[in-house]
Amino acid sequence: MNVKIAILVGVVLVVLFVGSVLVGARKDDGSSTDSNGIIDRLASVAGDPSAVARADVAADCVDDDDPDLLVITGGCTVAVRNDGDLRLLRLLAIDALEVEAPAPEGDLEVESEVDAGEEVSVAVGEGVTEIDIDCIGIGLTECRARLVAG
Amino acid sequence: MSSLRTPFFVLALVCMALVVLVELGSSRILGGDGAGAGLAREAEANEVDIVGSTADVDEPPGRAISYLSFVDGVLLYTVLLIGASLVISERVHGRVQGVVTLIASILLIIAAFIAAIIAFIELLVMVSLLLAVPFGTIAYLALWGFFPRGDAAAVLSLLMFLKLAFAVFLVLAQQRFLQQKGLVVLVLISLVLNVVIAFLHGFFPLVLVSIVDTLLALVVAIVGIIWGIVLLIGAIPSIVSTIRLGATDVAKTG
Repeated sequence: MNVKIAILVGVVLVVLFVGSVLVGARKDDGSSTDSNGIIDRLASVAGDPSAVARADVAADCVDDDDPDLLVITGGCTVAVRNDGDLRLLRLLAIDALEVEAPAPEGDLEVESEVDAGEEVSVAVGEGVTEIDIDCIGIGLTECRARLVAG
Repeated sequence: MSSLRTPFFVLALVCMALVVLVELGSSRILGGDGAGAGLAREAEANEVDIVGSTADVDEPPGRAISYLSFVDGVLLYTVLLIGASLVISERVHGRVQGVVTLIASILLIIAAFIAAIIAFIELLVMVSLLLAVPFGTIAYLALWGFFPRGDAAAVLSLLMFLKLAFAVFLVLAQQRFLQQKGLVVLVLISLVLNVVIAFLHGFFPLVLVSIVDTLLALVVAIVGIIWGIVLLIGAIPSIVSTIRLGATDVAKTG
């Protein structure tokens, strides 16, 4: 490689670098709700987090006849045990309810309202996670949710 | 123009040492600023409420820039070897070079391999969390959602300047360095990685930059492993000739 080629390569790299930095400076920050191709591809590699095993879910509000049905009177705490990677607890809200759970890997508590008929996935980190479920319908003291398998 | 211009060579060496030091220290320079406001905005977009304060939520430091030290460390080591030949005798240099390179390359391969595994696991956790809407997404955003893109661009600009200064000083020290293909390829890879990281940091939406950064860290670690293997293979002939020389010396003295 002679000096002229080296200088040319250097100039090209500098132009590319400055262009790259300028692209970043002008770019809109976007949002986590936007879809993105690279994330879709990584998601297909990583796969969805597994659902928690039914045996690892414990709650006082489990229906006596149907072990997958939660009958919540005012409020109920669901305890989920997880010995490994991130898992998902899937809940189908039969009535409107509010779910409050700690965000995995962090110190935050997150609260989400779920309309009747909607499903919500609660990400559960390692250890025991306590998920609070409260009824939110007007005048509603009892609400139901179903644990969705796999 | 056959002799090495030592002052320029020393300047090149200093520039590359600074590059590696900045890269190693980048995880302490980057991140740490508050990102609570951004998290609150994203929580609203995801239709969830965050209970309690978000004051503890900070920008992450990222991995790719610090992982660049695996590649630039090889470059620094190569230049140090050239520099060592200026201060120690050719005989000692020839004997020591192979063994030191063998040890350094093994250490590099092990360190880069461990770093690659850490980056890969973190990448899987990031993607899993991001896609576990809404609870996992908020956890992802709190931990990695607000990459300090501007600060990273400033650090990468400093690194780019130092690497270019290194290349210029190296050529000024001895033009024949341009004929050393391995060295030229290593310098080019280092510069190209710098450009690619700067480009991809700016190209993706802010909340995804940490994922892209970790993916880049994984790629840089793999490049480091490849260079470690190249060093390892390059050390073998030197060790063989050292052993032969040793055997010859023993035969002469015996």
